[in-house]
Amino acid sequence: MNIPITGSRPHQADPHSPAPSSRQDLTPDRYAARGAPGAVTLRGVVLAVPAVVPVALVIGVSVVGALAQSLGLMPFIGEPVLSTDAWAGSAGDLGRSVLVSAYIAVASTVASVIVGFVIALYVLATPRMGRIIAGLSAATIPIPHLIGAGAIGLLLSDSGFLDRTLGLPPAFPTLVGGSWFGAVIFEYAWKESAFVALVLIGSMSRSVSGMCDAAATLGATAWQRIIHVVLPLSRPALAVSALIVFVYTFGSYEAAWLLGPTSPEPVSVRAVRLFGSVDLAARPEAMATALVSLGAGIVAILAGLAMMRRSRGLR
Amino acid sequence: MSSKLEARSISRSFGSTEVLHAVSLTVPPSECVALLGASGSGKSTLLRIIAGLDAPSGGHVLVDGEDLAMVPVERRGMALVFQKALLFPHLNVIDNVAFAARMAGTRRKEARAEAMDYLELVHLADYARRPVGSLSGGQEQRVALARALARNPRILLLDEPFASLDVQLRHTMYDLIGDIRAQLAPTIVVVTHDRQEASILADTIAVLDDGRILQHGTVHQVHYQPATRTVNELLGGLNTVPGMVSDGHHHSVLGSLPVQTGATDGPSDLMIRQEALTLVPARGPTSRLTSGSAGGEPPTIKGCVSGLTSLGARTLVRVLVSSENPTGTRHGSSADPPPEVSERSLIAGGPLNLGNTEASGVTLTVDVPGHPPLLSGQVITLSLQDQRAWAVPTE
Repeated sequence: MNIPITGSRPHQADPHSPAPSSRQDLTPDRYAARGAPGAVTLRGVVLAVPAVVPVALVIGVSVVGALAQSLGLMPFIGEPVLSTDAWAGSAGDLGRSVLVSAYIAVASTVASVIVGFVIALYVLATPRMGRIIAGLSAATIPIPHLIGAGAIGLLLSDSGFLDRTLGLPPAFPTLVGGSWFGAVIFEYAWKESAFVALVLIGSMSRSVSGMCDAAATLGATAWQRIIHVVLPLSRPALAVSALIVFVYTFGSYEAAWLLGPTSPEPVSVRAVRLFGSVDLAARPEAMATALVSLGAGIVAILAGLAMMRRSRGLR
Repeated sequence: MSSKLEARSISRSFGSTEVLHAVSLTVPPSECVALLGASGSGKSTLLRIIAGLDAPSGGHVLVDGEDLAMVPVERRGMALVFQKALLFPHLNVIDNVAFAARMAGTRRKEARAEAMDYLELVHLADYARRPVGSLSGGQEQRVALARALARNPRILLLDEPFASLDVQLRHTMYDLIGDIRAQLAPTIVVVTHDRQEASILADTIAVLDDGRILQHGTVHQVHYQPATRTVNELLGGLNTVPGMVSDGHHHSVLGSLPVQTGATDGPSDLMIRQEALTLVPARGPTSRLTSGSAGGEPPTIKGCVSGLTSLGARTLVRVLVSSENPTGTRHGSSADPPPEVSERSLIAGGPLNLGNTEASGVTLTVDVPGHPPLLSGQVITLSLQDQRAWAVPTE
């Protein structure tokens, strides 16, 4: 292109003039100021110390102390004498307690997960009404289990609110104090389903809507969207929350103590009863029971994490 | 596979806010229409209504004459590719593509065999067994496209599917859409805010603004014959000159320019695409605008360079055209406005809020190849190619 220049001007509008560089190189001095990788790691450890030390101290002292007491090495009175009586002497009762606790935990976890999933589904599918349900679920979380158990007792006991208002038939199963721990499981399911729902809502709210839209345009019906999209998407959060619920309900004490039968006892109730017994000789047995509860919880966590790691969805 | 799509008087309100105002659009079978508009113009809402993901406040969506009001999204026979690929993370690539067939009840083996054909179409057959998390952004969009095509949709809806891709990848995807159109000939509605993308992909462009279709025409029409000043701006037109149309000519600070046949007399904006202007060597006379119709030459305009903006391989040259010519000589009588429309009234009476209009003249922008060695204030001459001046009544 031939452009005649018919005049000149004092300044040139040059589109090629280099823009002033804003980039600043990382000089050795600046690098040193930031810190080498080793220093960063050390700083991370130091920053974590205030959080880690109290936890490690409390748990470590508790476990070591409980183990020592269960083996007779830290008696309330008298000289320390190594003994496994607290473990071997009541192995049968302890085993039954573990089974009862496992039953309560499994039933409560299954019920919580199912109800929690349905609540989350409803909240995600119906934003307006779902907001109310999500609010109610959130309000359930801070209520203590002890208060919840008391309320469930007033509702479901033989002369409770439900019986008085509806006149339940005599054949209706005993829920409070019944051998199937119905009221205990109900209380856990009520409280923990809200927890499961909130975890699911939090983990899926950003992705599930778009995924369901995509699935719908690909021909998936509402039911197919739940089974083939929402359920698989929720699996990681569902697994984590189920693990937490299981471990919590396995070791929880208040609801089982208030709403369960006197026998058989769950592990936690047995541990508290023996610990509070007037017979100080029962203290080692209480510690052995508590340690079994702790061990079962650790096994459950490790097994759950191993299963989740194998699951593709959690990679 | 392809069907005719009609949107009739579609309206949509969210509370008191109306985002679509009786929008009507027809897409013939196997055609590709681009819905072009700025963010918030309602184009994605219209697409979601067509897909059945949202319900209109009024109006109807018809496919081959059938009203889809009572047809749920999963039975509309459409497929939608979103801006995000939205691949199912719990399925691998081939199972994502086989999803529609599986939902339709096809056995897994057959569904995967069909899916492989579509993966080959998007050149990703080698990735069939990979988890979707291992794909790049471009590969994800290709899988999303294959998944949508595997549905065998009557109508394929694309909601800014390439917006998050880099330029090179985007052009690869355009080629892919071209291949798909050649092989399967689906009816396509593509939503985009990128006029270049719309021009490459679509046969026609529907320009949306504030919930209304301002113009629906061919790519050439919306670029060179915009219905309104807003259309011109949305299509990237940089030159709007206020003035007055009378007797087939637009009179403005530029002088008198012949405009399209049928232009309405009265206050009008003159649209001149920056690509329709070229720089030409200056000649002897220093008239502000010379109509070259008598000699068969294109009209020329004189002005002085007020700025340059590099676009890489091209440069935008801003040229200030004064009401008086740059050298101080009064303009020739042939280019004067008619007596009843004075130059001052054209400037003062026009919409002075125009970005490219100044009190003493107008700034025209010219898109030229390369990097012309121009100086600020240098006097240059512009030529209007193919008489491509277009006047529309002032909004």
